[in-house]
Amino acid sequence: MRFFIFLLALSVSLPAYARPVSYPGGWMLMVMNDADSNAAQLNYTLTPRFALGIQHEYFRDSEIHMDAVTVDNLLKRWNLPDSQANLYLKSGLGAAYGDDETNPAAYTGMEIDWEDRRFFTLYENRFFWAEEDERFISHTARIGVAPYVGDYGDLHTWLMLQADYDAGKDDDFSLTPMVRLFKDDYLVRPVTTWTAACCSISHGNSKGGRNEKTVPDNRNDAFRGNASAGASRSGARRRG
Amino acid sequence: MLFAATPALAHHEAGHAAVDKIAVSVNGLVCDFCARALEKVFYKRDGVEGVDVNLDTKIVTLEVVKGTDISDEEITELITDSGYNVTKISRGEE
Repeated sequence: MRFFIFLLALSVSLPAYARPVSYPGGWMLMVMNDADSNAAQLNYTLTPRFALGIQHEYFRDSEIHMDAVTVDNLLKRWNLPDSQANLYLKSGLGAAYGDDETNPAAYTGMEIDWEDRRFFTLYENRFFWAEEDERFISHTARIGVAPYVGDYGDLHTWLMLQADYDAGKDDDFSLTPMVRLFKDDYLVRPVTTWTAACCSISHGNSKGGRNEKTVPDNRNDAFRGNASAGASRSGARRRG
Repeated sequence: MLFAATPALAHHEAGHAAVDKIAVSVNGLVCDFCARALEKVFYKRDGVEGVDVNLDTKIVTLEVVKGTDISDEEITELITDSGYNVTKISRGEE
């Protein structure tokens, strides 16, 4: 098992994680980068429990692209006086293609999270399948703590630690500390790629850390400065 | 007391028309994301002049133009559709 410690993955991002389903009429554009792939997703929340979107993902090692229609379901939300928890089913169906062929591709996974104004936890898994291309099952867990509880509109800071695991890969386990900053009206510019870790220590592997960014969609300013980041994925991959 | 503890409201439009204040206690308000979403939803509703989301007290305070017909059921529906739960609605007047 490989054990990676990324000393600092400093990101200027928005809330502690991305809500795959926001509210009816809400648009979100998410740009996600990790050690193995780059992805962008645009989704639209149709109902309080259902969002539909499109996603493009590029797996750098295999040089495989995937285009998919995404379906995110909020299966259950627990609204408590001082906290909230959510259970999501996140899926996508489309095509993967490289230089010479195109194959069907799909993924699905569950996400469960809990947060209050001080603490945040998340677990997510993802099964990805593309015929003859990429196949993997990944697990991601994340915890976070806010060193101070800011008021609405303040600069909010989250210190987070993320663990990724994929038994099908040599470098199967990684830990990534992150610092996330966000402010209510901070507008993330639509940058398509973002370098992840600024420093890293690893055992024989210079794999960079994951980073994520959520960008508001200008067609609807509902999430200006508030769309959240965090559609996390394991960096592990296994060839099919 | 309830309204006195509420920070200054964000006013959607400048104006000095008499308003009714509605205080809504909500479960699940844990971040600015929640507050922003509720603001967006209520500002789409005609007659809503101001929206304040207090994350400490978990109270959403609405300022609506006096005489605006917005029922408790509609408020509850808007907040529920946004992903949160209403626990109490109190109406006042400015």
